[in-house]
Amino acid sequence: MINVKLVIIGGGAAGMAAALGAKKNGMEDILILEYRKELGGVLNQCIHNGFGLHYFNKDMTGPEYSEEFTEKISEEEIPYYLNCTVLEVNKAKVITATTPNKGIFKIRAEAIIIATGAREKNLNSLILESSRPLGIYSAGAVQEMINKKGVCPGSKAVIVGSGDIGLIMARRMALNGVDVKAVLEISSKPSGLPRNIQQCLKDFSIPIYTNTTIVKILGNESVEKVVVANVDENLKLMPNTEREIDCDILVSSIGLIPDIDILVDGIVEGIFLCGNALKIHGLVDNVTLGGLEAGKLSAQYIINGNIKNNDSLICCCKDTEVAEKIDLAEGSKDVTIVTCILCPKGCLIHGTLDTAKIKAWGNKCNKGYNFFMEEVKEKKRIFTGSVKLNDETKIMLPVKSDRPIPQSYLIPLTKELKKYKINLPILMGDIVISNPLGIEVNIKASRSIGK
Amino acid sequence: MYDIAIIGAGAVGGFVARELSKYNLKIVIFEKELDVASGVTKGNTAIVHSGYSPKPGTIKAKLNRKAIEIFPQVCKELDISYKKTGSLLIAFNEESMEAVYKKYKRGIRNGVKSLKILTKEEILAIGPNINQNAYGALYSQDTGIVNNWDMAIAACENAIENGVILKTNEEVYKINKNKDTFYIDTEKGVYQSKVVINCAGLFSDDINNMIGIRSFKIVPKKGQYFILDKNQCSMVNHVIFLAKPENDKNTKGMIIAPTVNGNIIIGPSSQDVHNKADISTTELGLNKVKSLAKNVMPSLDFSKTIKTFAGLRPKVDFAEDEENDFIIEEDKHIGGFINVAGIKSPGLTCAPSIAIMVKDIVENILGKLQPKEDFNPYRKKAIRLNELNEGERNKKIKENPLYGKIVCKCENISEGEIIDAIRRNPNITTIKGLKIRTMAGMGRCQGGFCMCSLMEILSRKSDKQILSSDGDNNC
Ligand SMILES: Cc1cc2nc3c(=O)[nH]c(=O)nc-3n(C[C@H](O)[C@H](O)[C@H](O)COP(=O)(O)OP(=O)(O)OC[C@H]3O[C@@H](n4cnc5c(N)ncnc54)[C@H](O)[C@@H]3O)c2cc1C
Ligand SMILES: Cc1cc2nc3c(=O)[nH]c(=O)nc-3n(C[C@H](O)[C@H](O)[C@H](O)COP(=O)(O)OP(=O)(O)OC[C@H]3O[C@@H](n4cnc5c(N)ncnc54)[C@H](O)[C@@H]3O)c2cc1C
Ligand code: SF4
Repeated sequence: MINVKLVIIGGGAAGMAAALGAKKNGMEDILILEYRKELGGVLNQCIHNGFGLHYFNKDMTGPEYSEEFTEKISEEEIPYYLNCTVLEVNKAKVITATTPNKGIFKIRAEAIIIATGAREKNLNSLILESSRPLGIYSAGAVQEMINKKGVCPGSKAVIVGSGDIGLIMARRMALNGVDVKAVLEISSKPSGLPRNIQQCLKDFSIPIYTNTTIVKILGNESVEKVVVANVDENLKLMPNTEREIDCDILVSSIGLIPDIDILVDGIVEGIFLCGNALKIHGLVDNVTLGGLEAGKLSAQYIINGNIKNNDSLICCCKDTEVAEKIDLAEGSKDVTIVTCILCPKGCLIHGTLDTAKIKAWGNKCNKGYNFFMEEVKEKKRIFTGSVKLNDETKIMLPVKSDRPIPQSYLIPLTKELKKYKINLPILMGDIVISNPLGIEVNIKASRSIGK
Repeated sequence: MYDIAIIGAGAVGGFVARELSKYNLKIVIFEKELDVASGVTKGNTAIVHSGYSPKPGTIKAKLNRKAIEIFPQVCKELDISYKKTGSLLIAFNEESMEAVYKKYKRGIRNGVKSLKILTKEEILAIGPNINQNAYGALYSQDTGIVNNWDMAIAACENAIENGVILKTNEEVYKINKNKDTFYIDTEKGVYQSKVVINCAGLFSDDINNMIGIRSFKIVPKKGQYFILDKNQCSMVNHVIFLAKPENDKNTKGMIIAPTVNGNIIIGPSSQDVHNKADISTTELGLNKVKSLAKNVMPSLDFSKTIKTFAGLRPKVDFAEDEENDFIIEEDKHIGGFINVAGIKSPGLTCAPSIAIMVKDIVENILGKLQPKEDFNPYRKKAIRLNELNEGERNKKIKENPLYGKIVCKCENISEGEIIDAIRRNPNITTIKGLKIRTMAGMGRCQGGFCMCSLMEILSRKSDKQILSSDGDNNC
C-alpha cells in the first residue's frame, strides 16, 4: 500500500485540469491514474476542431487541446501512470489498480477525484425489433476506428441520435466516402449544437429526420436496412409512417452515462467528481473549468481538513451551456439565413443580398457579420482528418489545414490524404504535407508523436 | 475413413465427441458456423435443471437425473463455471400451487433429492425481493447455473486434445450410405465414416431427412431475454421459476436467475417462428417478459438492462399422442445413423448424459469400444485474473505484463487473457468468439470502449483485418 494525498482517476480533460487546479492551490502530492496509453481521454479521438473556443479563445482540435494540457502536466511535473486501470475505490479511500509493470497495487488517498468520463448508451439495451445483425456500432467506437485506426466499417450509414457526437460522426463518415443516409432524432429538435447541424449535416446535404425513431433493424448476417417511423409529441409511434432505409452500418449516438461504477461503496467524504463522470458536458471548456474547481476544492479539503461549503463535497460546476437551440431554419427568397459556426452560440444570422448593400442581423458579435459575408460568397471550413504514419504502430496522425478551405475540397482532400505516409518524429504544428491539392493549403500535425 | 462423424458442435455434439474420444476411434465433427457454440447453445437460460419437470419414464427424466449426478464432476474435469444455487418454483395463486405440488410429486418419482414445499414466509425469507403475494413454492436444492458457451467450447477443446478433428465453417449438405460406409458431402470435400451422429440442433430434421427414414420436423420456438447489469446481482440469489397452472396454454412461465458471470437473466418468452435464423428481438416479446417479471419481482430495475437477445428452441412437432421427448436413437432402417434431435430444455443440462447414452448406442453398432490409454479428461480454462487473489494475480502479471493491462474496463479483462483465448482450441476467428470466451465487450458498455482494441488484437493475431460489432453475440 502506498499513500498519496490526492489521487485523480482518469487523465482526460477533466482529470488533467483537476491536477493543475490542485497544484495551483498548494497541493504537491498528486498522482493521476489513466487506463489508456496516453493522457487526453476522448479528446485524442475527437480530431475535429471546435475545442477551446472559450477557454483558450482559439479554435483547436481535440488532440491539440489535449496536448496543451499534457504539456502543462509535464511542466508542473505532476506524476501519472498510464495503462493503469483502477478496479475499485472503497469508502476508506483505498484504490485498487493494475498496470503491466506494477501489477495489482493499492493506494490510500486523502482525497480522490473521479474523472473517469462517460460511456455510451447502446442499442443492445433497448426494447427494439432487431434481427441483431453485424454492423451496429456506437458512435464512439466508429470514431476510434476511423480516426485512430483508419478503418471504416461500411459504406451506407444511418445514425440514431442527433447529439453532437452523432453529428460529428455523420460528417466524418461523409468525408470518408460513406453515404450517410440520415440522422434520426426522436424529439422535435436536433439535440446537437446549431454549428454542428450546419457544418456536419447541411454542408454535406445529410438529412436529419426529427420526430423520428428507429423501429426495426433488419438484415441476415449484416445490417441491410432499418425501419423508421414518426412519433407524436408524447413519443408514441404514429401509424402508417413506417419506411425503410437501406444501410450497412447503424451508428448509435443515443447518449452518454457517467462511468463511475468503480465506486463500490458510493461517494463518501473526500471523493470529488468532475467532467463527464459527474455530468455529461457538451463543451470541453466547461469540463476544464469544472476540473480546475474540483482540483481546488480537493486541495482545500486536504490542506484545511474541510471545505468551506460542505454541500459541495461533490464538485458540481454549472455547465454554462451557451448554445441556443434553434430550428432548422431555411430562409426564403429574399432573406438568406446562415448559422455562424465560429462559436457554440451558433447565431442564426439573417441577411438580404441586395447587390447594392448586404445587410445582416441576428449575429451576437462582429465576427458573425464577417462570417456571414464570407459564407454567402463561398463556404470555407477548416479541414481535419488523419493520416497514416510510416511506422509499425498502425495509429493515425490527426491533422488539420492551416487555413479554412472551400467546403467542396473537404472530401477530395480526405481522399488525397489516404495516399500519404508520414515519417516520425512529429511536433504539433509541423507542416506534414505541403499544398496537397494545389490550392495553397498546408496540412499541419494536430499532435506530437515520437518527440 | 472415420469411425464417427458428428454433425454439429453445440453442447451436445461437443459432449458426444468428448465422450467418444475416450475410446480408440477416429472422430470428426462438422460445424457449419465459424465457431462452436453458435446454435441453440449460444442463446438460452443456462440453468442446470434438477429434474422435477420431465414426465417420469421419459428419456428426458432419465437423462436429467443422470446429468445431475455427473454434472459437478464433469464441470470439474472441464473447468466449466457451474454453481449450485437452488431454485424456487413460485406460485402466486391456488391454481398454480396445484401445479407446484404436481411437480413436487414428479420430482420424487424422478428421484430428485432435496425437494421441499415452502410457505410464503419461507419464500420471502430467502428471496426478500419476491412479490409479497407469493403463495407457495417448490424449493429444489440441486438446481444450478452454468456457462452455456463453455459447455460446447470446453467439451470441444477437450475432445480436440484427445484426437478429435473439428471442422468449422463446413456445412454438411448431403449424406449417402453405400454398404457399411456413409459418404458425407460438405463444400470442401466428401468424407467417409462408419457412424454418423446427428447433433444439428435446429437443423437436425434437415440432416435426418438427408438419409433417415423416421421423419420429423423441427419448429423453432423463440425465447427472448433481458440481461441486467452486474450491479443488480444482489437482487437474485436463486433461480426463480414462475409456476403456471397445469394445462393452461395461455399463461407463460418465466425465469429470473443469476448468471455465472454475475449478471441477472430474465426470460424467456415463447413464440413459434418459421425461420431457423430468426433470432430477432421483438417489442411485444420483450414487453411480455418484462411485465411477467415485474409481477414476480416488482423491484427489478429494467433501466439497468445491458442487453436483450433471443434464442430458438428446437421443438419437434410431435403428434398429439406422442411424448414430447428427446429423440436419441439409431435409425431403425439406416444402421449406423444416430439421431440426437429435439434437444430442447433441459438439453444443456443433459448434454453429458446424452453423450453417455450415445456412446452406448455406438457400442451397440461397432461392438465393444477400446478405451484410449492416454485419454486426458482434464481441460483447464484460461486464467481469469478477476478470480485470483492479489498475490496470485501479481505473480501472473510478473510472468506476463499484459495480464496487468486491462482492455475491457467493464469486465476488467486484460490483454493477456484475450491473447490466451486466441491461442487456444477451438480456433477463434470472430469478435463474437472472443467475447464469449473472455467476456470482454460483454459488460455494461457492450464493447463501446474496447471493440476497437479487440478488433486490433484479433486482427494482429490472425493477420487480417477483422471487423465486427455487438450485433450478433446473443450472449
Ligand atoms: C465525439 C465527441 C465529440 C466532442 N466534440 C466536442 C467539441 O467539438 N467541442 C467541445 O468543446 N467538446 C466536445 N466534446 C466534449 C468533451 O470533449 C468531453 O466532454 C470531454 O473531453 C470529457 O472529458 P472527461 O475528462 O470528463 O472525460 P474523458 O475524456 O472520457 O476522460 C476520462 C478518462 O478516464 C479514464 N478512465 C476511465 N475509467 C478509468 C479507470 N477505471 N481507471 C483509470 N482510468 C480510467 C479514461 O481512459 C479517460 O482517459 C466531445 C466529446 C465527444 C465524445
Ligand atoms: C430459449 C431457450 C432456453 C433454454 N434454457 C435451457 C436451460 O435453462 N437449461 C438447459 O439445460 N437447457 C436449456 N435450453 C436447451 C439447450 O440450450 C439446448 O438443448 C442445447 O443447447 C442444445 O444443444 P445442441 O448441441 O443440441 O444444439 P446446437 O447448439 O444448436 O448445436 C447444433 C449445431 O449444429 C450445427 N449444424 C446444423 N446443421 C449443420 C450442418 N448441416 N452441417 C454442419 N453443422 C450443422 C449448428 O450450426 C449448431 O452449431 C434452452 C433452449 C432455448 C432455446
Ligand atoms: S456571431 Fe459571434 S456570438 Fe454568434 S455564433 Fe458567431 S461568433 Fe458566436
